[in-house]
Amino acid sequence: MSSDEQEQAKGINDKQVASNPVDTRLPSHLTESRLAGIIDSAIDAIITVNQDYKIQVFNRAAENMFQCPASEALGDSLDRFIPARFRDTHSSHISGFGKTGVSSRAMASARSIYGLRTNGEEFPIEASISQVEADGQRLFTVIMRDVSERVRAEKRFRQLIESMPNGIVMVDKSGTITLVNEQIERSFGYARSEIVGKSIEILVPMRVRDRHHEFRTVFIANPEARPMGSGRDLFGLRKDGTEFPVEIGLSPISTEAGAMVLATIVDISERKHAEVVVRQSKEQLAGIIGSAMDAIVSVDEDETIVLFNNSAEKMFLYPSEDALGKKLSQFIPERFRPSHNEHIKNFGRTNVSKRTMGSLGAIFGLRADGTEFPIEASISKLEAGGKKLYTVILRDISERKRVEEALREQARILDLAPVLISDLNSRIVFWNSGAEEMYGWKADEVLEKSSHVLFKTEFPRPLEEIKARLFARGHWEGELIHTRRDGEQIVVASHWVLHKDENNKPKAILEVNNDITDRRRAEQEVLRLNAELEQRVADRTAQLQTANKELEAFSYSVSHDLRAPLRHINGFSQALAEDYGDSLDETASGYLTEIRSASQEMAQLIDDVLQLARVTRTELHREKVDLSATAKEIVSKLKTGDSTRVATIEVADGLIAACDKRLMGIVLTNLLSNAWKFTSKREKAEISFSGSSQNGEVVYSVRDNGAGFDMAFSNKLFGTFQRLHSANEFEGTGVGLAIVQRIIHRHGGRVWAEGKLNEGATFYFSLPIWKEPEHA
Amino acid sequence: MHEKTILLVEDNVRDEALTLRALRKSNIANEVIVARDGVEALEYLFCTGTFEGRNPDQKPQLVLLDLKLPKVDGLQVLEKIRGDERTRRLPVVIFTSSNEEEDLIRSYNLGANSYVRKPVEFEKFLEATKQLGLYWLVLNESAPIG
Repeated sequence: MSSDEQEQAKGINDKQVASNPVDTRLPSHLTESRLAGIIDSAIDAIITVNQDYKIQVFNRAAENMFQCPASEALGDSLDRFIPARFRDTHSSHISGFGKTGVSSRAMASARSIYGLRTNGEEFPIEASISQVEADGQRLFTVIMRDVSERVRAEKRFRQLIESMPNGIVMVDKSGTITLVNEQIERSFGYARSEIVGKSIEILVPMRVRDRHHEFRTVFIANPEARPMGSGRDLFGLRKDGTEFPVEIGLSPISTEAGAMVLATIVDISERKHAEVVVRQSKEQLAGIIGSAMDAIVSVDEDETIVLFNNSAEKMFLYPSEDALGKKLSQFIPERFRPSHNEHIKNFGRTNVSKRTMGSLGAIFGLRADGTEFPIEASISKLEAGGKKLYTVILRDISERKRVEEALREQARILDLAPVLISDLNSRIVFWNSGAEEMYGWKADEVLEKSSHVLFKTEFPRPLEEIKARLFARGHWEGELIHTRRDGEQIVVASHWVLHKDENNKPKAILEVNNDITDRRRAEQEVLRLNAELEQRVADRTAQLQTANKELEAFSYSVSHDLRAPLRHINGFSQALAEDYGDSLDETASGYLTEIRSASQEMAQLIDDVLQLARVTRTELHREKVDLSATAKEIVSKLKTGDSTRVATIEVADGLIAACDKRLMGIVLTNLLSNAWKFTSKREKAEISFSGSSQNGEVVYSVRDNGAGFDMAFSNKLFGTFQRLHSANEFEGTGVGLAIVQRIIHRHGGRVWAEGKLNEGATFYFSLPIWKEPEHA
Repeated sequence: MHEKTILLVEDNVRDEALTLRALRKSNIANEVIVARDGVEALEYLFCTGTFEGRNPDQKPQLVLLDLKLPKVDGLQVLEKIRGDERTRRLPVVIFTSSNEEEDLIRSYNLGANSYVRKPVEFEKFLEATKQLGLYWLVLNESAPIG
């Protein structure tokens, strides 16, 4: 059943009109013909039927409306002008109406009723019915209006409303929903039957319902078309309890039903979402710009700065708030400004949207403190709203430039060393300027050639062996002989390093060569000189040895030959004294004694001189010698030589020295005999031999409490034949200490003495500390 | 009857005189035969040359041998003495003024029984002679002759 039919079936919607009984007396001026004229000229169709439902009156408007002449209609049942399906209801309505005392009323004013034209066409009508009793008959008069147009208009209106993409709600003065469209149904999740007739507040979130109510009141008081709640976020409440953001426009409408409010409700969830997305991406972008390590500066067409990020602040030492509005050229060193401006302008004119700015050559930035620094930049262009926006991204490349320069410097330095790289077949794949300098070939002359063939390399061992070593250890060092381009042969100290690829397979050989020809030459020269020197030394030694031998033979024969006569002098003097002593007086005997003493002295002298000579020329045979033991031996000999002497002799233990045993024996003999001799006049002689190590040498001392000596003459002590005492006081030849000195000096030590007349003397000698001989 | 003799090989007349005197003063009365050089010494010992006809069994009890001798020197004599079976065991005392260590070593290497230096001082000379004589002529048991 259509809604129309539903409505029609609901029955007559009575609108009670004043139910005065109808006075059928006509006013006097209304004659029948005038009345008929009035009825006929009416715009509305007037049909009167009797209680049998037969048509009595059928005016002109009715003729037009139903397309039927009055002659046909009169006497016919009204049913012919009612669609079949409504006829029963309609007639019962009429009779029902008739039974009431009501005189007139509108017919189904709130629902659509239809008429039926003669040609079968149906059309909507608006009607009112009235009843009158006349002459005992009841007459029903129906006045009708063809409202097709209106209905059509209404329909169009409805369609329009329905088709609106926005939600449309019509609300009456009391806030009751009178009309909703499909969009509202969809947005809020209600079927219109669920909300039409309800208060508008059911679509409003609970928390704002009171306020909304107030608002409506205010609006009704001053209705004007405007958006609702400007500046506020508005929300609609769905049937399922969820909310969604909305935008609402209000317009007052007056309708036949009275003043209404037409509200357009737009679901702006998507827009809001889009807004959030946009805001988020804006924030993100701001974050990216803010956190970017590179400086980002945007300027407009006049070069005024509109964006200056954190990094730009740090780079230029200029706060961004201050930078905004300033000109970009402020941050460029003066000498670059003109070309920079040119560049930007040209760029602006091109169609290119971005490029790096390196093509200008090195560009520099100017900090707020006046310092300059090298930068790398890229520029991009953006057109927005008809205006050009330039964005420059800058990087401070001072550090990079420093590193680059350092690397370049390194490379320059490395290039000084002769370096070449060859593949595993010794073909040259890399040749630097150092190699060029050393060998004389340019890189293009050597690449792809075998290095060994090129250099005519002479190897110290077979190349296979060298290569094997290289592969095993990863490197090889050795000396090679290379021939330069000019034919000169050079000796090189070659260092090879094996280069492996990512899979650890040998790939290439790096070779660094040092020309050591000069060094070799120098070394050989040194060797040659050394050999020469050694030869000379050998020759000289041979000479010396010969001389020594001669000297030895000489001193041997000398000593022997000199001693014999002495012996004779002595012997015969003695013989004389013994055999003819009786006939000699004291003086004569005295002379003989002198002769004998003199000869004895000479003998001693000869011995001493011989010893001195021997000590000088004899070879020094160093070994570990126990000096304490040697000293003790000497002491016991002295004691046995003269057992009458009272003497305390202390010899320290453990005095070991690296020295010639025999020669040191002579030293100790001399020193101890001296001590023994010069203490001979003491009642109790005190002699001691000790040693101590100091500063890398050992100092030995022989101390006695004997006659001593005057320190003033200490420099004469060790001289040959020098004596500080006369022969009368103490016998001696004055050679003993010279011998001691000669021996100690040959050992690399020193001798010296301290003494005081009559208070004794101490003789010192030093020897370097014993060192274990190194074994080769 | 066998007489104990001393062979003194000494080239120097003075040394000879002093040695003889010293021997006398030491109451050593043995006969002393003096050879002036190495050749004479050997001729005597082996009964050749000047001493041809001498009884070879008559060997000296002691040989006092100086080293520095003309013609054949003391060590050569020593060598010869030690080299001959007949004289091998003769007591030979090197009596020399040399105090060269090499002479000492070589003497002992060649088989000298003793090495005594002649001191310059006569007293000592005397003493040395006396001791020598007493030891070699009296105390020491020589190898049997023959």
